[in-house]
Amino acid sequence: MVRFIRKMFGIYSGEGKRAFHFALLSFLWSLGISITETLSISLLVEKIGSSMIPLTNIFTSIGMIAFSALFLVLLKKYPPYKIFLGILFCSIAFYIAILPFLGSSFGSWYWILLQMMTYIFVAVLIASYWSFVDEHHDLQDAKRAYGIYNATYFLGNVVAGLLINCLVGKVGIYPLFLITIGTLILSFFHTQIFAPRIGSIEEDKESLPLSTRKKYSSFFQLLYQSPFVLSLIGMSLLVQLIRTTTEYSYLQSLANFFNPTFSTVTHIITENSLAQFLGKCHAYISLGNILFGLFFYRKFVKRIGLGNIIMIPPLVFFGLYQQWIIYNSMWITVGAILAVEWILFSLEDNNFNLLIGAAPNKLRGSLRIINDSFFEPIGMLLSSLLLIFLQKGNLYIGFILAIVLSFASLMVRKNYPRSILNNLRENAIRFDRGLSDWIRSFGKKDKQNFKNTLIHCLEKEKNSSIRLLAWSSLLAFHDNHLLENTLLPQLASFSVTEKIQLLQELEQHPFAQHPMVLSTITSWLHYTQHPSLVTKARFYLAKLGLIHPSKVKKDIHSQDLTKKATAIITLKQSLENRSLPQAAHNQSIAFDETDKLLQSDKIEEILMGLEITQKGSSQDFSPIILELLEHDSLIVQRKAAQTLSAIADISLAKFVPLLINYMKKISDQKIRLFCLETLGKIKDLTHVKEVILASTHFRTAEKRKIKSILTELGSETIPILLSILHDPEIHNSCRILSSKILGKVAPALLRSQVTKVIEKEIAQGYFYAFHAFNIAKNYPLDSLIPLQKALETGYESTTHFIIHLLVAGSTFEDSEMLVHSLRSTHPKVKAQAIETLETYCSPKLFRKIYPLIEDSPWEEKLEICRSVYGPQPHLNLPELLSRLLLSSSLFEKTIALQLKTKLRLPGWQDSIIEEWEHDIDQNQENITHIISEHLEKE
Amino acid sequence: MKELSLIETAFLLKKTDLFQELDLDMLISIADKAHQDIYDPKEEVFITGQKAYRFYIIAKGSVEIFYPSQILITSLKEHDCFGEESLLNDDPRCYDAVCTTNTLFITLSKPLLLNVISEAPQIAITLLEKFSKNYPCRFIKD
Repeated sequence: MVRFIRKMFGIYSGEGKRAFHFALLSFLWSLGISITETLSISLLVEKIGSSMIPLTNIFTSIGMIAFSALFLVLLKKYPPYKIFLGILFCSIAFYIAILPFLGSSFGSWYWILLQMMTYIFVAVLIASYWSFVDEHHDLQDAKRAYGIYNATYFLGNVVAGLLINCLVGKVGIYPLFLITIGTLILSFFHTQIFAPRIGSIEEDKESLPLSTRKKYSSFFQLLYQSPFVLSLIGMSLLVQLIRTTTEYSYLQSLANFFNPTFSTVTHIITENSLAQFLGKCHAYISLGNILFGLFFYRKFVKRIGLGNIIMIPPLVFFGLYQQWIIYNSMWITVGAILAVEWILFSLEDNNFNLLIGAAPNKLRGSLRIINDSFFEPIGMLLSSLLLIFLQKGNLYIGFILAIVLSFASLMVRKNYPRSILNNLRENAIRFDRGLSDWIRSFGKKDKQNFKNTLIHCLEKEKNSSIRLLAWSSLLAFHDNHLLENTLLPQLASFSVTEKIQLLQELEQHPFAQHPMVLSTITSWLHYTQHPSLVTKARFYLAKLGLIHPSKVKKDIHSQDLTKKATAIITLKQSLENRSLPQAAHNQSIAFDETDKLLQSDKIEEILMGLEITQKGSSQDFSPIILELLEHDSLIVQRKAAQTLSAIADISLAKFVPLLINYMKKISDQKIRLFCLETLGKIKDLTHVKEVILASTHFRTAEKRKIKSILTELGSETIPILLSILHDPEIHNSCRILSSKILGKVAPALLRSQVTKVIEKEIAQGYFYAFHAFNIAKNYPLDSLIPLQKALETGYESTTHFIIHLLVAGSTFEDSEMLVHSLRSTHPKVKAQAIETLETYCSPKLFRKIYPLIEDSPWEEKLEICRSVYGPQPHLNLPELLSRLLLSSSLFEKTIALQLKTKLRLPGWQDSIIEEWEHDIDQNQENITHIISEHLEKE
Repeated sequence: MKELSLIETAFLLKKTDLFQELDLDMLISIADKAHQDIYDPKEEVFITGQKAYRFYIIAKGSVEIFYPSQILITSLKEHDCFGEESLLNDDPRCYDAVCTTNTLFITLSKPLLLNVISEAPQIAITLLEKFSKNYPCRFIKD
């Protein structure tokens, strides 16, 4: 029964209590406040007439703005439920205070105050209730649950109307005010009891820019900077305008229909016909709204998407006014009532509640308050003014407003996914961007500001490391003028050590041979007092082939390593080696000396030998350099890897298998990146698969490097990449990498293949989910916990793989960020990522994957999978373990083999032998090693 | 007080103990996602018992740390950072941080800090060094 009810309302198991409490709360306070809302306006008109309404509205607007300011400050310090409680307390206290004086003949101010405070309470209760609800729901929960809360809110309104109709004539207004106080007290205690018990979704309140006066300006700045928020507020204002205009128009139209003088209606029109007719319409529509909110809204959103639903209200109003301008029939008037009471009060309101979830993180909590207590009163005021001044042309105003609302909704529709994306980007750092990429991404003004700040730092900063950083960052602009007028003159202000450091920076730069650079460095040879700088400057020039061999020949046996290196490099590649025999002779000396350095026992000599090898053609040294990769010193290993990357070309292709094996063994990131750089330069297509397979446990930066080098290899890698993508026996991380490269090299081909692979993986995910759930439910044994964990991990890994494939196969550019967000432990971040995926992925595929990526309980996932894929064959324990032994995951294999051995299941010895043989085949010692340890212990 | 530009933020990070080893590419990436918040003198950045969401680096100004309450433990100046403990142990804030002057902070959210640590593990080592300096024996509890 419970399951049936849950399914009917779209509530997942575990969510029922929360949904019930919020729905009950919404009913209670809306019932209470709706009674006073109706009574206060009636009493105001009855006691002092409608002439005071404009003045009351002005006071109300000022009061609401003051309340919203207070609300925003409180929001920084207190959770929304405490603010909601505070407002409930204030409203209860207010109604208790005014109750004794309801019958007395106070002046106008009493009734104005009652109306004003009631209106303010309605607005702030709505805002604080929804802020409270928002804190406990992410965007995906909201799609299912907000319709229900809205429906119970309407139910409160309907019951309030019924109570007023039934009781006011019989018992007067006192008991009704008592009902209000009673329901508000109930709401208060209900909130106080249940709110602390249900876990909220944590939001970063320390980043709210609202603690001081100054920060209000930054708040409005944020508002101004978000096109989505601006269009949402604009849309909300227009909704207010169109609502008032339409209400006015249908009332005017109904007044004509029900006027006995003008009416063409054949039946008898009594004095109260209009009120009765409106009452009936409101009752039926409210009932419809309740049913729509409870049962249909969530399905509607799921089926056609929020982005499309928001276009319905403007289109409805557009169609309505287009017809209304031409014909004025009773049906159109009823249509107008429906448009306001159903489309705006139910559909539009629900949409707005969901759309707020896409507002920037810093604004989300406050936007509802700002809108309800600040912009809505402005909307009311504007629409009243509009109707006062343009009474005759109300239908044309409505038509124009419908057109403008359509544009505003289109803007919201366009900005909605972008806003979500920007929210996701807030917590996703892109480490793949270099300084040059950053500079390229700036606009002209930002680029200039960036440059000016760097120049300022270079000239004024006291911290030398920052000055060095500024100097080398300015080099990234590749600006001649900057080099000549700022960078080179500033060189003089650096110390000798810093100058040497900057020389190394310059060496790698296209400006290395710039005449002004060479002239500055040459001047150091003559004018500087520091021998170390002179030596380094000569070394720099030697690397460019600008030193004459005769000047350095004597240094070939120098004890000073830099001098010796300068001599070797000069002999090797001086531009002055004009005659061929002379050049050959010099190069032969250089070769012997370099070889001696590389074979040396001293680390400094080896490092210098490697430094020399990086210049000119040194491929002959490749075997020695490869040997140095295994040197005891990490510095030597790194330098050797760097040297290989500097000299690599196709001639090193024979060393590719060696390098791949080496990368598997070594864990140093710099070495791996240099090795990958080497592979990129070798451009060997025959080992693409091995490179990808080696990447199983590589770090993110290393995988990024593989992606970039294999992408550069182009379309010839496609068949290999496709074979990896389709092979379930290959580790998922390798398949993901292949998909990413394919996404760059052949995106259309990948998109055509992805569905097939994902469908298989969904079935695999279903397998893991089903058995993990069944093991936990049917075999609650301690010894099977590892198996359950392995199955859960398998499920996680499969969904991770699917997410990667989906993103790689979509048109989405920032895939890493989306994957990161989809795996976030923060429900709101994950929910927004799912929303983004829905925008960019094909709807058919998204519907299939949704149950797996959504944060729903296992039972729900399994039920949906069962309905899509049919029942899962129930494997017994030995069958399940045998299946896991076939997995590509080492973890699953290990757990399966360990359990098979431990439980002495049939065929356990054969399994060990098989795995042993497999490990030997694969040149691994993974699983059998673990098993033999286990057996030894036994 | 004026907020810092992207490159100024990156340079500021470079001046801190925690991020001094990182290269500029990475620092700019972090600076791009960092928030800047300006506080008034005597304004509380956070107080004991509050849920922790951010890690703070003082860009300009100074902050006093009070623990358990009203007992001044230390004064922090430009380039000092604080607030990482509760982010890492998920406990509420266990001290008060109050600005003594107009203070500009560079702040990182928990996911950002963890993201940076996973990309540059040397930051975790620096944090460990900082913690171990304050806890000569981790078996002694308060």
